Amino acid sequence: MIGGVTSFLTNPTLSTVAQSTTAAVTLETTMKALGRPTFILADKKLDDQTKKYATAKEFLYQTTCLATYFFVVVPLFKNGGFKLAKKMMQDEPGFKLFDSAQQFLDYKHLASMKKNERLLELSKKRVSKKFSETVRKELSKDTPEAFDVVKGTIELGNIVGSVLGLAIFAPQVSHVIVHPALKMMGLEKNKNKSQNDKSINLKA
Amino acid sequence: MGTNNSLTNGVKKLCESLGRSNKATYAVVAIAAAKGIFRPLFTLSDKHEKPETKRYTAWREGLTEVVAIPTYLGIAMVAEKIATNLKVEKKSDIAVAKHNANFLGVCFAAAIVIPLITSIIINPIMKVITKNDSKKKAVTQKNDLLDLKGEAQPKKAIETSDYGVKKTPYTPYKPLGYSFAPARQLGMKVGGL
Repeated sequence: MIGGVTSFLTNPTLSTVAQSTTAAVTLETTMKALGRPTFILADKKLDDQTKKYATAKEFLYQTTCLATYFFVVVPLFKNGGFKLAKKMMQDEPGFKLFDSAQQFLDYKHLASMKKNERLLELSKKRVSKKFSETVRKELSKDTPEAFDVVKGTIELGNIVGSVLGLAIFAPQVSHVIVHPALKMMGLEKNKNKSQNDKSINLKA
Repeated sequence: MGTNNSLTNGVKKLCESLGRSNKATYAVVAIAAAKGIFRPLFTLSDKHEKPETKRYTAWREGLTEVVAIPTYLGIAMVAEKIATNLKVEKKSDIAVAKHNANFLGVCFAAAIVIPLITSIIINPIMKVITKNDSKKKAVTQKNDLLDLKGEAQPKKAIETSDYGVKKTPYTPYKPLGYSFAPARQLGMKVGGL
């Protein structure tokens, strides 16, 4: 049992996922989309209609945030941050070797592998053509260079993007989507009707 | 030029540190802090919602994020401490385990601990806030009612002094319990009783 926990906690794949801001934010938002509605449903003080309304609203809000984050924020800020940093830190060797954030992330993925697995992967044409000769040489070493500054640039761009995207942009998008969706589901009535119907607690 | 260089160096150091070790707590705490500020502001600026509902929702959203920040930090710290005590073959594995435990702690906090704490704590806090609000509302309504009564009363009654003279800014001040008014106005009986 303890051995299983130890091997799970020291798993390199989990470590790679845990190092990524995108993975952390995506997983955290998914957990919120599942956890919050579940706790609302379990609340015994609320009536059924209010529970349904609050659960659907919370689920839709978190799902919209997740979709906005994944399809708009991540591509925009990952590459934007990389390009901006490349201009700011022209002398940094890592920025001279990579043209885009994705190219660096592909390098990082290969660099985290064991040497024999990495060389096998690098021998594939579709993989090797992604990199320049210098990068291929670097990947052939026992321990390839980590290029912490480049990695940190991508993560910083992701954190800034996550903050702006999830705190400012996503709520606006969800505001446009959530209320019509709730109306379609029959959980939110038109203003005139809802004024008459006071059975649903809209504050929930 | 010097400012630019120091800014670049600062960003470089920050990026280097993030590149070496990027904990899951950094992103989620930053997001929670920003959400705690902006979500209530957006709710308060919503023109379609009733002011009472807006205030309630804004308080609730702000408090949820206030609860979330220390919870994320606390759970992640506890998870890291547990990982430190694991028996591993290599010393470097402890660092990996601590990092992974931080990530799993954040997930656990988001899925279970924060919704649980929120459902326990928020409702009593919101009751106190709404109670205070309704008290304030009741006082305001009472004042409004008094104002209305004042308006309904004939102006003469307010503007005339005890002497039956029209009150002006120069009407002399009359201390409580002191009367200089004619006896007939005070309703004095014969014999002073």
